[in-house]
Amino acid sequence: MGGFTLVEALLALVLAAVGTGIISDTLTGILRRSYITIAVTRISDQSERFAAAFTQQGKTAVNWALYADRAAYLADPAANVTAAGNVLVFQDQLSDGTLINELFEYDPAAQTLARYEGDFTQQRTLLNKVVLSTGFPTTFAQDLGLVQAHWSVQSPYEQLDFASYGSSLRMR
Amino acid sequence: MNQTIIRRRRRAGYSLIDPLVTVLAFAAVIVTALNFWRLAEYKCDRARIDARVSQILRESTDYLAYAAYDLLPVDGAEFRTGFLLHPMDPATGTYKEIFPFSVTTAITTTNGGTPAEQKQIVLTLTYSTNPEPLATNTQQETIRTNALTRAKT
Repeated sequence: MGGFTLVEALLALVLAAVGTGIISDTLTGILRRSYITIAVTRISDQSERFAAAFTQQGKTAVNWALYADRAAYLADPAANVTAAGNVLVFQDQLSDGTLINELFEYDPAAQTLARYEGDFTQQRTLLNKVVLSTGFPTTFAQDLGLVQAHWSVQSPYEQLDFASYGSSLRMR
Repeated sequence: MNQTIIRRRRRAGYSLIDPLVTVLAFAAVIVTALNFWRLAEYKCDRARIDARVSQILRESTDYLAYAAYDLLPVDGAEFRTGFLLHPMDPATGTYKEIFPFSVTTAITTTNGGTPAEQKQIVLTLTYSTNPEPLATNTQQETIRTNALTRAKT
């Protein structure tokens, strides 16, 4: 009776192993690539929501001001206003006349971009691994009343650049 | 007369066609897997490119909507340039720049020089990407937005 020799059986095993390995690697790679896409999309969506909040706050603000950093803002909000900086404060007015602050802060040391409501203890949004975008020495700036923010998020897979603009319709 | 019948046992073995079929099947598996991988990679890239294109258009439109009238770009100006994606290059540990893009403005001014002056602004986003998974060439794609109207006063 015919049968396989040891060499033939081993060869078949090697071929089967290689084939299985290739298919397995491909499927793993596809799943990994899908995971990377999901991770990057999630990071992108976080910044997109941050940008949307920025634009919305800019549109509804009754006042806004820029500061070099948190220390400058806390030291003297009236005297330390600058044309560009890493802290931006929008002041909104509720229907009952109450004024409420919306604060945006970029912390270069922690590489975080955060949004606060009221004061720096009420954090609403936090973006991590944020760096300054190329060509912009600060995150926030203004130009003839146009408030703008530029930032980049460095994920392990991709660097994502973002820009957001707002202009107070009540200050135009 | 007795006739002796000698039955010879036929030795089993592979014919030429057997290994050829095996090699063909093996090659088919590899080619399918590679193409499947390329397609998945391309699909993910396209998803990122589409998201980035939407983001660039949103940012550019926001700028034109909220910028002071005097800050609006002039007709035909290259309003913004850059790269669509900055994927990490594992070999160098740096971010690559792929798929260049540019945004230009086409502006039609009406009632120029009067308080009723208006500008109709159309953005044109031009970018280059791979047209298909295996393509080595790049294909230029163009997107034009609807006209955005800004009034001087």
